Amino acid sequence: MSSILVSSQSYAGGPEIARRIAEKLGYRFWSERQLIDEVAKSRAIVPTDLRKALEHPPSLFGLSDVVRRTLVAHLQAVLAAHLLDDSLVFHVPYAHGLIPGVSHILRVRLVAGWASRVAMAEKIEEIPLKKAEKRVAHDDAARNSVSELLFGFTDDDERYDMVVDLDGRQEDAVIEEVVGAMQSHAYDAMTYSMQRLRDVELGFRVRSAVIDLEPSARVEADHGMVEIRCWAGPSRKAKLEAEVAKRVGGLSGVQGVEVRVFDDSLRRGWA
Amino acid sequence: MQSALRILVVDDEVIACKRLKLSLSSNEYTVECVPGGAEAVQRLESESFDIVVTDICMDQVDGIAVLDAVSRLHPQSKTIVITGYASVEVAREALAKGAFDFIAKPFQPKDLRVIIDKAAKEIRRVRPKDRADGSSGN
Repeated sequence: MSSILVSSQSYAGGPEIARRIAEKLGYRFWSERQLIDEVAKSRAIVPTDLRKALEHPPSLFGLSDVVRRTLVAHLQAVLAAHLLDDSLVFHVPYAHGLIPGVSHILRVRLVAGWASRVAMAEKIEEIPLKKAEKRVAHDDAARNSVSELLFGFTDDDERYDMVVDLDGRQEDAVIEEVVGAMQSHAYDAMTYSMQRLRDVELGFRVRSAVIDLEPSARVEADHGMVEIRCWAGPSRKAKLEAEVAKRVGGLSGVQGVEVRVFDDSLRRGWA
Repeated sequence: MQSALRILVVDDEVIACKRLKLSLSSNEYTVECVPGGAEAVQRLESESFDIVVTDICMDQVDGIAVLDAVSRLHPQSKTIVITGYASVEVAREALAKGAFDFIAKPFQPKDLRVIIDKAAKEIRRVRPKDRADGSSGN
């Protein structure tokens, strides 16, 4: 039941390497596109919006923070559900933040040198050097700011379990390195990590179910017991509490719900 | 009928030890408790156990050291690590060092029993005729 989330810098050749890692381990592979399509279908949202939520940096005329967080909450719920079912390799951005603290999920970051990425951008996009440099720089900055917004930290190497530099290395050697890590037993599924994943999945599923009621909702799940913290004005407090409890109480795997609604006059929910 | 498997429980909380002994002892398992890592290593140097259940956080000799001792002295034994301070790093370290499973406190005795039954099944699968004469395997 171990899985791998692979993130890569743009134009580093990450998707193909991730696919080959899956092939080598006999795990099912999901590309970012497949995941986005699945989330869009299951939550009736537009795939382009979800792609924007992951790729476009915050801007005045772009997606609002609330919409972005909502879309990503749905993505986390779908991703966690799949991770409970099978051994998988996902190529997704922000592997360091999407699924926190599950020891049998290896979070890998693939990086490549600036020159090779720019060359790849030139080739793929058929654009001149200057434009390619600008594109790569823009992608890095966007990734960092989206990561900061969603998770509170940048797309930082230290947050990943494993960082592999692709520069000057054969693809086969890189694949062997990741496969070797998975064969070390450190990433084997165990009672603790499976329970942790069940808690994470339930937490994301609950958040996905209530986020339209209150985007500030924060959810913790522990062995079926769910705690939800929201922020709302005094006039809305009682109604929100009842609505959230009613909606969550009907979800599978939920054994108990505690909803705590705090005064939102200072908008602490987003702090 | 196969003879009982031997379990060593290592925990410096005496009450926890007693509870585990009570809940695990059966026709299938004989359980011995020791109140710390140092005592566990000492016991392991003179005898083998089929299954070792060890807490991580203990004074002087911790559960990881017990796990190391089991891997070194009795690699065929299965070690189950329990801890009240579970983290991704500790869990990975325990598994990389050969732990059979890792479970976070608090847990229900039946949860641990499920893991022990799984370990027992694997032990009996690998050496089905072992212990047929009731020896301890020393």
